[in-house]
Parts: sequence; structure tokens; C-alpha cells
Amino acid sequence: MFDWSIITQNADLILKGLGITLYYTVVTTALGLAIGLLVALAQLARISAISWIGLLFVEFFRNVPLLVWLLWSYYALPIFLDINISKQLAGITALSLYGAAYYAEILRAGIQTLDPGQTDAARALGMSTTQSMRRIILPQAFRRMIPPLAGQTIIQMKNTTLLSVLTIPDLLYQAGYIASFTYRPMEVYTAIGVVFLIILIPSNYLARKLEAHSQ
Amino acid sequence: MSTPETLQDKPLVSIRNLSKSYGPLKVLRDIDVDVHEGEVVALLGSSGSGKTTLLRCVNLLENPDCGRIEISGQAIFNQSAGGDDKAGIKQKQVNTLRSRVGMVFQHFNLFPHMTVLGNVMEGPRIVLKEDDASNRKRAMEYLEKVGMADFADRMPHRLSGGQKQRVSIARALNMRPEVMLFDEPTSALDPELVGEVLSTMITLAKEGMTMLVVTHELGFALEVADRVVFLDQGTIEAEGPPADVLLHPTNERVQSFVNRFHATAELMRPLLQD
Amino acid sequence: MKFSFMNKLASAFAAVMLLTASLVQPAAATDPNLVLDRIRDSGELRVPVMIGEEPGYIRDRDSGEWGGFYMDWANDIAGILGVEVVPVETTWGNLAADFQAKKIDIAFGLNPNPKRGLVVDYLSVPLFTDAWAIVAKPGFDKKNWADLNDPSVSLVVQKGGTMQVVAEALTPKANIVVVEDRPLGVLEMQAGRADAMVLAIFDAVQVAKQTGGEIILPAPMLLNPATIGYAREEGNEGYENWLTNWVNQQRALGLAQGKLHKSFEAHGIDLSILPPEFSF
Repeated sequence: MFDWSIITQNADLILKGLGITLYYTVVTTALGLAIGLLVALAQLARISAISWIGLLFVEFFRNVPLLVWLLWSYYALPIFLDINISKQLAGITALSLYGAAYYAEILRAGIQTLDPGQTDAARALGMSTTQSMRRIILPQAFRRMIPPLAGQTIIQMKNTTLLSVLTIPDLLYQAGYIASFTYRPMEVYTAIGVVFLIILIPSNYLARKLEAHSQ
Repeated sequence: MSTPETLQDKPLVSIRNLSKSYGPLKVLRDIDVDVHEGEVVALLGSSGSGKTTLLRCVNLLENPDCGRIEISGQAIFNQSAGGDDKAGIKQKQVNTLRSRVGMVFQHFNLFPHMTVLGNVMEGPRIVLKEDDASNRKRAMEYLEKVGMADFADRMPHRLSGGQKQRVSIARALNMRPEVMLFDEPTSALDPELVGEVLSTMITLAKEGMTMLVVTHELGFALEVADRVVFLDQGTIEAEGPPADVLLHPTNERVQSFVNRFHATAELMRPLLQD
Repeated sequence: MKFSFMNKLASAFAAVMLLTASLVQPAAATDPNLVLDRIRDSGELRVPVMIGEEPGYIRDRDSGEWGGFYMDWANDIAGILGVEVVPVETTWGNLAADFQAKKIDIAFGLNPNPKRGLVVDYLSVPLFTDAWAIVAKPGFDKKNWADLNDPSVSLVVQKGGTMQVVAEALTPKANIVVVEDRPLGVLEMQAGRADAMVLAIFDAVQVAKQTGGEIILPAPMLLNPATIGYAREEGNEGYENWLTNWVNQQRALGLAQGKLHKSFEAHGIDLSILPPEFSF
């Protein structure tokens, strides 16, 4: 009933797709974390205009489905603003900003729930806000937030599967491609599921180890 | 402890007309207080009297509504009632003045992601931009002084409360402050650990450190402090030499406060044997 | 004082209006060569390509190069215009957006779907005509549209394609299952949830070959014209006329039909099921 030979015959395509998926996961997670940190800090700023911008960013990107953001990035910019954008740039932009909204909320919670005595001690020594953030607050906030950050990164990797709607050749695209000439979608999509498991289960394990080590 | 001559010098910490409210609640009402170089001043009072708020205003961890605060003659806060601008005192100046004021907290507030030595070196390293060699040498001397030199590479969570508090004293001292603020330094400690911290503080006092201590330890106030300031509901009810204020209180609020804590004084005697 | 300020403001406003009016030119008729010139100047003919559309679009599995009869036509057109074909990978669903976003210059094999026609222009002449067929599970014996139009029949169609329009028009009583793409449609049949899949005849033969289903050309035979689509924009009349001429020439010389026959043969597609009178 199942013909698994089509998987072995097309393993090279699956590997290519995996490479693309991992590339986008790593890049958009890194960018998402960096932008998310800025947005989290913006929300904590004392100037209300800046904190409003941070809040709006989060609400915007969290509440619109990623698929819509992907299509918007690729098509709306040329249609409305006459700016031509490659699908790779559209994919990276949409995924990074979308991820950033979630990372921002995680980091903001991490910073805000930190013991206020830490800020007291840092300020009492004479540290500036930047110094206390860099040396005392953020290192602790990041460590505390490893579980939700790791969880979000796993979601980010699954989110990259939407890139196929822009015909970026990630795992899901390759799955569709292989299915289109083998007509065996069951085997193909099962194989893709297995690939995700192989990547994510060890990653989860590593994340738990990291969390234990940082305590 | 200080000699009478030094009490005549210009105050190291000078507070005038300090007021603060949390919404409708007036926590500090027009307070005037001085701390002179070498003095040990004990701030006493029941909970809610405003003593901790007063202490935290000295290094601006709390923002008063109005008043004037000077450290070594330099204003860290200056705002008139009906307050407008903070007389143009920039954050950088505040930070610099803070670096000259050491603070020890009730809950220690050690940095959990650094070793004991790392904690003690952090201030001079980051704020004073000192080089690590001289910083480390001095840090180890202060750790030696508080009896924690053997724990230099330990992480804070492995220490007892008393040990943590001694480290936090070393951390404050390594900045070589002009004055040390203590916010109920022993209130969070198990009774058997209180002695090691008080002992450290007494050593500092004997060496002439200027100290402003919020405490419930009446024995410490009696035997170590040069002056006691008693706060009740935001105003200074009594002020003067500890024996006068505590043993012969003219104020009934002070009287009832003291009655509750009589036993502690007895515990203090042995520690004060030279 | 306020009054004279308002006066000054009013006269300033009037002056600006006059100045603007004198600068605005009356609408001139746009040059019908605009689009043709743009394409030739750019040196590129941007053509949409997709996977899952063999033999119209064939992607070489290893080199990633694009071929197929749609590409052959594209190369022919580009050659005459003196430009290069640039493949732009996309999906059927995104085609209208690709035109709107000016990412492509032409699209082949489009059914003149009126909804898409709200934003895309079609040539009025078909490039080729195929027929609608079904690929059915073995033993399925309904051979005309009337029989298929029955609640006991389950038909699967591809989302957004004209086959969905056909099914809804001709077999509204049947249970119509809409799927995202062709392989998922095959899955529906294999899972037993659909009796047959509606496809253009050469797609149907392709699918039947891979899955062992039966091909049925439901009677009366329903023709499916496929034409060329291009962006609706000012100055595309010259482009439209030129493309129409090209198509007419291709058909007159039998080039279009010949190319299709050759492609299907090369791909191992047996079209003997089509009646002899039928011609692309």
C-alpha cells in the first residue's frame, strides 16, 4: 500500500528543502529575537510615544495570520508602493517581524517579573539604565525565559512551512513537488513529519538542558 | 564611633524639607535630617513610619515630591513644593553621586548570575571602569574583612542569609563610598545569623564609616549608634543620643515602641566587648 | 485682524489653485505601444512557472531548469521580441496578484475565468482547446454529465481552478469536494471519499497513468479553451494585438496543435481516447 521507495529516491530534494527550512528558521529567529528585544524595551520606555509604538507593533503582528503577512510582504509592497521585493526578502521580513512580536512579549514578561531588588542594587551602585540592563537585567531575563523562548523557536520553525505559498523551496514545497510527480502525498507528507520530529525532539532536549544549566 | 569634635563638621548627608506622598498617603512630612562624617545614625520607628522611604530617598531609589538632598555638599535632589523641574540635575550626576553612597538591602539583592567575587567587583568594574587587577585585589581584601574570602568563587544561591549579607556589605564597600546606607540589614535573617552581620557592621563603625541604618535592633542602636532618629507617621518624633531617646523617652510613642523591644539590648552586650 | 488674515489665506489659496490648474494637462490618449516598448526595453519576458503542471511546465529535477510546451511558446514569443525569458515561480492561486504586482508579463493556458478577468485581460482567441474529462476509480461507469449530476456521486476538483466552475455548473447535485492541489485530489479518491476527479484531458491522462484510474470523457464533450493572459494596464493594446496575431499564426500553421501533440507523445501521454474529430 505504501511505497516508501519514492522517499529514498527523492531524499536529495528533501534534504535541500530541509536546508532551506533550517536557514529561514535560524535567520528569522535571530532577527526576531533582536527586533523583539527592541520592541520589549520600547514598551518599557518612559516616553509614552515610544511605548505606544512598541504596543502597536505587538498587536499588529500577533493578530494578523502569518500567511496574510507573507502575501502582503510579497504582493502589497509592489502593488501599493511600487517597491519590488524578492520572495526571499518578503519571507524573511514577514517571518522575522511576526516572530519578533511573540519574542517581545516573552522578553517583556521576563524583564518585568524580575525581582525589583536587582534593579535597586544596580542603581545603588551607580549604574546607568543601559549598564543595569546589559549587565544585570537582561542576562537574568533571558535565562529565566529560556523555556518560552525555546518553545517559540519551535513554533517559528513550523511557521516556516508557510513559505511554500511564495514558492520558496522549503520542506513543504519539496513535499508538494515530489507529490506532484509521484502522486503519493501520504508517503511524502509523512516523511516531512518525521523530518520535523528528528530535528525538533533533540532541540527540545537541548533547550531543557540549557534551562537546567542556567539555574 | 565618632568623637564630639567631628560632629561639628559640615554634614556629609544633608536633608531639608523632604516630603513624599503615595497618592493620598503622606509618607514623609517636611523632614530635616543631617548625618555627619563618621557618625552612625540609627533610624527607628514602626512599620509605615517612613524610615525605609527616607533611607531610599538619600540615594534617590525613591523620588521625593519636594525638598533638598545633598551629599558632600552636592545636590542629588532639589525641588520646591508645587514642584517644577528638578533644578536641572542630570541622571549622570545622580549616578555619580549614587556611586559614592553604598547600600545594603534587607533581602541582600546579590546578583545571582555572578560569583561572590564577581558581585563584589561589579560596581568598580562597570561604574568606575577600574582595571581588574587592582579591583580584584581590593575586592579580596574586603571579602577578607567580612570573613568571606574563602567563598570568592561560590555562587550566591549556595550561601546562607548571613553570608549573603556579608558579601553584599563587601560589594558596597568595594566602591569606597563616603557613606553607607543599611535598610534593615538583619530583618530577613534567622536569629543565629544576625550576630555575624551586626559584628561586621560594628567593625565598620569603629573604623569611622559614616552609616545611616534603618533597623529594629534596639541593642545595636543603643550601643553602636551616635544618634537615634525616631520616625512616626512621616515626622521625626524624637532625635538625640540613643541613651536619651531610648532609655529616657519623653515621647509616649517612643516609649511604647521601646517597651516592645526591651529584651534585645541584653543580647548586644557580649558583642561589644573589645 | 482675524478678518484680514482670513482674506489673505483665501487669496493665497486661490492663487495656488490657479497655478495648479494651469499645470494640469488635459488627458491625452495613451500610446498603445507602452507595454510592448517596456518589455522590449527591459530585455525580459517574465513568465510564471509552476510545479505540478506537467507537461505544460516541466522542471528538471536535478538542474532546476524549466521546460514544457508553455515554456516553448514563451521562448518563441521572447525570441521575436528580442528579449530573454525569465521564469518567475508562483502558483495558480497567486497569478492575479502577480499581474497586479507587476511581477509577470504574460501567462499561458488560462481559462477565460470571468472572476479573474476583473483584474487580468485575456486574448479573445484561444491558443488551444482541450476537453474536460474525469479520472475515475476502476469500475465507475457513469459516462455523461447528466449521470454525474447526482447526489450519489462524489467529484473532486482543484481549488480556484476552472474545473471547480465546471463541476458547480454541470453537476451541482453531486457532492463536490474541493482540494488544494492535484495529488491531494488523488488522495481523496484513494481514500474512497471521491468517485472521480475532474481534470483537463491531458492532465487526466497523466493522473490515470500514475494512479491506474479510468479516463472517461463525459458526453456531451465539453471543450475547454485555454488562452493567454496579460496585465490590465494602460498602453497594452499594441501588446494585445501583437499576441493575438501570433496566436492566430500559430493556429493557422498548425504549430500550436503540433507542439501539443509532440509534447504529449514525448511525455508518454496516450490521447487515443479523444474522438478523431477532436483537435486542439
